[in-house]
Amino acid sequence: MHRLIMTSQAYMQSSHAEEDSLDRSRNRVSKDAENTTYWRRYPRRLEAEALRDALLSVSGKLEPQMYGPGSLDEKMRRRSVYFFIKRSQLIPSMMLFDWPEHLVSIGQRSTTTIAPQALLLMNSPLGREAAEGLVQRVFKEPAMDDATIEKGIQSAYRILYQRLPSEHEVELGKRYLKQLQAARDVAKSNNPEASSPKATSLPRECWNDYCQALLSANEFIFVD
Amino acid sequence: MYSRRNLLKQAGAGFGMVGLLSLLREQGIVQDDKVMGDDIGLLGSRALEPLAPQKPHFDAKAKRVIWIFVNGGPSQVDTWDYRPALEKYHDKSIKEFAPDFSNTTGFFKNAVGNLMKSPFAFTPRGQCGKMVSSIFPKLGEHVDKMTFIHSGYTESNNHSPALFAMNTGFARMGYPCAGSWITYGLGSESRDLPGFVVMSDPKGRGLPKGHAANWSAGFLPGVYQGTHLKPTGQAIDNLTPPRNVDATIQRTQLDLLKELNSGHLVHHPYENDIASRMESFELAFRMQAIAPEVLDVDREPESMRSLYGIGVDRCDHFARQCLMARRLLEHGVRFIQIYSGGMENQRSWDGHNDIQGNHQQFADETDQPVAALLTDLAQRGLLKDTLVIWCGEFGRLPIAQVAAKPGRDHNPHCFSAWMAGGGVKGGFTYGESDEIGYKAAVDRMHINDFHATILHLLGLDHTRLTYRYNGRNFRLTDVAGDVIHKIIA
Repeated sequence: MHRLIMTSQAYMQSSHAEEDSLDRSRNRVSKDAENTTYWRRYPRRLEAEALRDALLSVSGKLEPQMYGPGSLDEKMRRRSVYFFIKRSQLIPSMMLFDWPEHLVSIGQRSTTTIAPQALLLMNSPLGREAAEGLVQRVFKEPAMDDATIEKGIQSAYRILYQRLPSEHEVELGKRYLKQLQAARDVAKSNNPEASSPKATSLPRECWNDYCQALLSANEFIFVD
Repeated sequence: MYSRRNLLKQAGAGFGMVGLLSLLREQGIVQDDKVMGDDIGLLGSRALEPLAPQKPHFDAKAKRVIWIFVNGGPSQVDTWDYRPALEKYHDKSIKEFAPDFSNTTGFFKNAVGNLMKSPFAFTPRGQCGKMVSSIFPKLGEHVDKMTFIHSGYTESNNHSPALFAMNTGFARMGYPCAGSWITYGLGSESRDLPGFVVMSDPKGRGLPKGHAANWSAGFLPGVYQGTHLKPTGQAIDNLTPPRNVDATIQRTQLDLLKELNSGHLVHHPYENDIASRMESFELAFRMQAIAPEVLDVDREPESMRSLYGIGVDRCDHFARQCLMARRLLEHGVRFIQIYSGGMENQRSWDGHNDIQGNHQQFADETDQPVAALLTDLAQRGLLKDTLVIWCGEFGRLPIAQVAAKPGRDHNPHCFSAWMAGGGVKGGFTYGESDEIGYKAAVDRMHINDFHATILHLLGLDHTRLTYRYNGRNFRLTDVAGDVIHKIIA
């Protein structure tokens, strides 16, 4: 039964709905924009657990250990299913991404899109450390020459989006890595104390910045 | 009218906005190659800045709303709806007065008791002499600012559906709530804070039943949904960039992110969630610059803190929320909802057991803070265009619910609410319940009427504030609702 469903044409439809890629697609959009006939699939957004697991997984930090008791420690590295649920001590990052109230059953989880979720990816240790882990996975020695950049971008896209970047995306990456480096140079001159953590324009930090943006992108959180 | 090309050129927007534009065209905000100004004036700027302030349909009395959601269902006859007949008929069967009463009117059919007088004394308050329960010593000082409604009724005797009905106009989940409709209709006055903010119980008593569905944007674009502040600890986590990132670096990251997302959006022009997630990063960036200061009630002078009751055990938590709410309103937040109480039973106003102890406790938690909010808003000249609402999801039965100590069960047929400021009359009472406070009797007010009136005060015609979804235009008031003009000053 599963095979039948999953190999069906309906199940295997792309979620893409742009108007100007193929003539056929354009027709489908104009005939049925609301998708009542299921000519395209809906992109699925990763829910709280899956998002956190994915962040840990791509950064190589996921501890695969199975079974045994759960944990209340938000910093633990096992899959999110191993979070222990205590009503008075709910895991903040999970709550932020619509963990339900756990006392009663619920028909359907809410899916919200709010600025504090963006703040988690921008500012929390979870978001930054995932980027750092990813860079460690991609490079032994991050560098900023064109050849290294190209290779690095390719392997980051493979890991995050399971595809190779387009030429445009490689160029975009090159451009922004340089811009990030320039921004870091400015930060460095603004922070005369050499020990300030902002005062580094080392390639590794630029790559961390770049990969953090890739991890925050919609393509990562929505499964097409 | 703008052509699509002009719009893009004038807005200086990139290719990704073509995707957003087709999204809006799909929703009827933008039609064909022209951006249509419909009744509410959704012009081209709307496409690119969905939270930009919008002109109302007509002159608004109120510009912003704060709704004290009296979660769990407050008992009308123990709060604002003085029913002296209950003393006379105490311990008689309700069937003598309401032959249609059935054991399933409430929620617990095996705990139906007789009529029960209020355990609280009522005294006349203010110039208007409104009879007010002893549980509201401080709010009683403000009755001359309030319009009371005693004839509210709703559709369900069960918390979740009744909460959904009160918030969205529909008893089923999945519809946009009032806060979302209003933010959709009027946009946000603040570019740096969410337009719609929700606060829930910080004392570990859970979320209102139905959770985030109560502040969901439903089928409206996700940018219009309520931002739920974390009830304990920092209201919003992660407001400071990582230690090795500064604002310029982060801005560069977000510019990159915008380009990445625009590329992705081209493939998904019909997904609301994808477009609004782009917007959420921009809001987050602006928010982190201002939110820490706005949310910090400790910046208020001591006199203000003590007016609200900060530091007073019984109400400290609610005082902080009310004061934070006032700071948010001042900074342009359009709609704020604060839930008093957590989930059901003893965790909220849901006094099935010991109505006396339950209502006394939750009134103690809120009386001083809400009264202070009214005083404070009035002093700042904000009350005239800020609508304050006190309302729960339903009322309670005038009979006892048999329990260790007598309680009261749910009652969808009657509830009381009050509004203050924002263009409503002061010291005024609208509608009546029947003699015993069981059913709304005179000038009955359905929740659709309630919503229609709130929108009207905000300058929005509830029949014109529509959104096309699933083949038809939806509204907060579905296909009903009459504005109650009598309560408008």
